[in-house]
Amino acid sequence: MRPSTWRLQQTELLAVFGFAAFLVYSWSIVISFYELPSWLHYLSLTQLAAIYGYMFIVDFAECLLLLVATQAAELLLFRPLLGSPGSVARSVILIGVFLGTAMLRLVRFEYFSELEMFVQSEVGWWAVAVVVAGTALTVVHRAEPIRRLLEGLADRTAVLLIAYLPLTAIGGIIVMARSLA
Amino acid sequence: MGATPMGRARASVASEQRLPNILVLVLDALSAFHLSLHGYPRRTSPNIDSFAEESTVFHSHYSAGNFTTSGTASMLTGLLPWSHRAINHGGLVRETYVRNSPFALLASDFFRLSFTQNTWAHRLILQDAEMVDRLLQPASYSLLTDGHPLEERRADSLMRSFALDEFLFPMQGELPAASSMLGYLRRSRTLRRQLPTSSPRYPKGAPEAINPGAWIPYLNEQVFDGVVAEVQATSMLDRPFLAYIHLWSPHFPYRPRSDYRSLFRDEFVPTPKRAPYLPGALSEDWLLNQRTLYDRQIRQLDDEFGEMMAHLRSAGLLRNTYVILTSDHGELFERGFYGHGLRRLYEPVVRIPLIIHEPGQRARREVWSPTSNVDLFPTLLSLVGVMAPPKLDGSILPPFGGDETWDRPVFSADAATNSAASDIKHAALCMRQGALKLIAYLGLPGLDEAYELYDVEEDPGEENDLAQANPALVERLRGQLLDHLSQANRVARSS
Repeated sequence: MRPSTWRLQQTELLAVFGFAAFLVYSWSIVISFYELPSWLHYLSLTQLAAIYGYMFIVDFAECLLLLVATQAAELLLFRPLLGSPGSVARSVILIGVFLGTAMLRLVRFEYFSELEMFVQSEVGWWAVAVVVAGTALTVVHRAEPIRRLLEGLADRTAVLLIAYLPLTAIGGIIVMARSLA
Repeated sequence: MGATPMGRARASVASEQRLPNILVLVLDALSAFHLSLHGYPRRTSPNIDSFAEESTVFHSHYSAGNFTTSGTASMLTGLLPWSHRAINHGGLVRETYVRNSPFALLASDFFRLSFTQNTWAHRLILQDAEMVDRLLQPASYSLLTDGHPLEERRADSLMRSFALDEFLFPMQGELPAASSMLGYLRRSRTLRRQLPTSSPRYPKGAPEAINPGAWIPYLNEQVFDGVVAEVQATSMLDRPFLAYIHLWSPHFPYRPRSDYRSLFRDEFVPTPKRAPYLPGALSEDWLLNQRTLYDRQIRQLDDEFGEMMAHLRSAGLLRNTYVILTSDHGELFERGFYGHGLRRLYEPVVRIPLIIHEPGQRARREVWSPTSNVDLFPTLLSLVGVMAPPKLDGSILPPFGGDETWDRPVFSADAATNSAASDIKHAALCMRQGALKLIAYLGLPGLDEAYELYDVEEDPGEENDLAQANPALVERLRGQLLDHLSQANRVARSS
C-alpha cells in the first residue's frame, strides 16, 4: 500500500500512546515510591508536588516522543504493511522492547562503579533487543491471536490515561506557576 | 543567569575597596586530625602549615554535623542541626532560616559567588539562589563540562535541580533514573562522551565527586585553576566579593595523582581502637590502606592550595581579603569503620580545620578553646560590620570580637533518620565542654541509650572511655545535653 493511503487512526494512536504512558508513568511512579519515604523526612507538600509536576511533564513528553517514533517506524520500516491490521501491535512491541531494555539496563547498572560497564555493554544489549523485537514482530505478523492480545493490552492500558492526563495537566500548572513566580 | 564577573568589571583592584573581600574555601571531608598542622605524624599539609603562619589557627574547631548537609547548613546559618533542621542526607534548611546566610545578609555590599562540587551543599545554596550573583553548577571545571562553567537558571532552581538532575535524569544513584527513556538516553550519551575519565596523571582514574544522582569526574588542578580564575575575575568588580568555594576533595573516593602515589610508604601504624558501641567490621590493614590514600589526596590538595594562595598573593588579593580554610566534616579510619556519618562522632569525624587569614596578617595566632562551625557565620558578619540575626547558636570567634571561653558547650549531631519536621528522638549527639566530650546514642536500633565520655585534652585519640568510671559526671553532662535537645525540639515544634 502506498504511503498516501496511510491514515492516522485516532483510536489506534490513543492505544499506542496509552501503552507508552502505562510503562513510562508506572516506572516513574514506582521509582518515586522508593524515594518518597526519604523525601517525606525533609520536603514540604508543595515541594513534593513540584517534583511530581516535573515528573508528569517529562513522562508526557516521553510518551509523545515514543508515539512519534513508532509512527515514523511505521512509515519507514513497515511501509509495505501500511493500512493492514497490526499497527498497534507493532508499536506495542517496539515500545515494549525499547523501554524494557532501557529499564533493565538502568536497573542493572546503577552505581558509579558500573558506569564503565554500562557503556561497554551497550552495543550487545541493544543487539539482543533488536533480535527480540524482530522475532516478536515476525510472530505478531503471522499469529493473529497474539496480535489481538497486544491490541487488547494497549486498549486496556489506555484507560489509565484518565488518571495520567489530568495529573499531567496539574503538574504543568504547578511547574509553570513555580517557574513564573 | 547571573552576571559574569567580567560583565561588571571596573578597573579597580581589591586593595582599593573599602570593605574586605571574603573567600571561604571548604575542602570536603578534611579532618583536622590528618593535618600535620595539628600534629599528624605524616607531613600532609606543608602549604597549609605555611598559610597558618600568617593566620589564626583554631585547634579545637568542631563541625556541628558529621556529613555534608548538616555540617554545611550549620556553617552557613550559624545554627545547630536541631535548629536549622537540615538533618537528613540531602535535606534542606527550614524555610524560616533560609535567609540566615551570608549570601542574603551581605547582599547590599558584596558580589556573591558560589561554587560547590557537592550537590548536597549546592542544594542548600539553591534554597536561596537569588541571593547569589554568580552560581556555578557542581560540574563546573570538571571533565563533564570540558572546563566550561555552567550557570544555573534561577527560577525554581532548587526543585528543578532536585527533580531533573537527581531524580529523572541522574547520572547514577542508589535508584535508577525515574525517566526511563530520556533519563536512559542522557546517561548513555554523557557516559559515551566522557569515558574513559582516566588521565595519564591519574592512573587509577580521575577523582570523582559521587554525588547523589550526579557523577562528576574532575581533575584537582583544573578545578583549582578554575577557582583562581573565578576569584581573580570577581576581584575586578566594583564591589568586594564573598566567594564560597566548596570542593569535593579529599572526599572519597581517594584518587591522588600519580606523583603522589608513592608518598607515605612509611612505618606509621595507628593505634587500634575499640568502639564500645556501633563497632565496624573493617580490618586494620584495609583501614590503613584507605587512610594512606586519603593522606596522599590531602597532600596533593595541599599543593594545589599552596599554588592557589601564591596566585592570590601575587595578584595582591591577600591585602584586602579574608581567606578562610575549613571543612564541612572530617573522616574516620578506625574502630572498624571508615568515612563519615553513620552516627560516628569521634574526633577525626567532627574536628575540622579552621584557619583564617586576615588582610595583611603577618603573624600567627592560636585559639585553643573549643569552637564550632556555627560560629563562622556570625564572625563573617561581624568582620564587615553587619548585625547578626537574633537567636543564633553560634557566637563570634575569639580573636574577632568574641571571648575565648573554655566552658562553652560545643555540639555535634547526627540525626539523619529523623523527620526534619518532628522531634529528634533517634540520634548520635556529642557535646564538648572544656576538656570533656560526651557522646550519646539515643533511640538507635539495638541501642536505646548509651554514653561514651572522653577527656580529649589528655586523650585526644579517645582511647579511654571514662563513662563507666564516672557515672555522676556522665549524668551531669547528659542532663545538659538533653536539656539543649529538648529545648530545641520545643522551639522547632512551636515554629
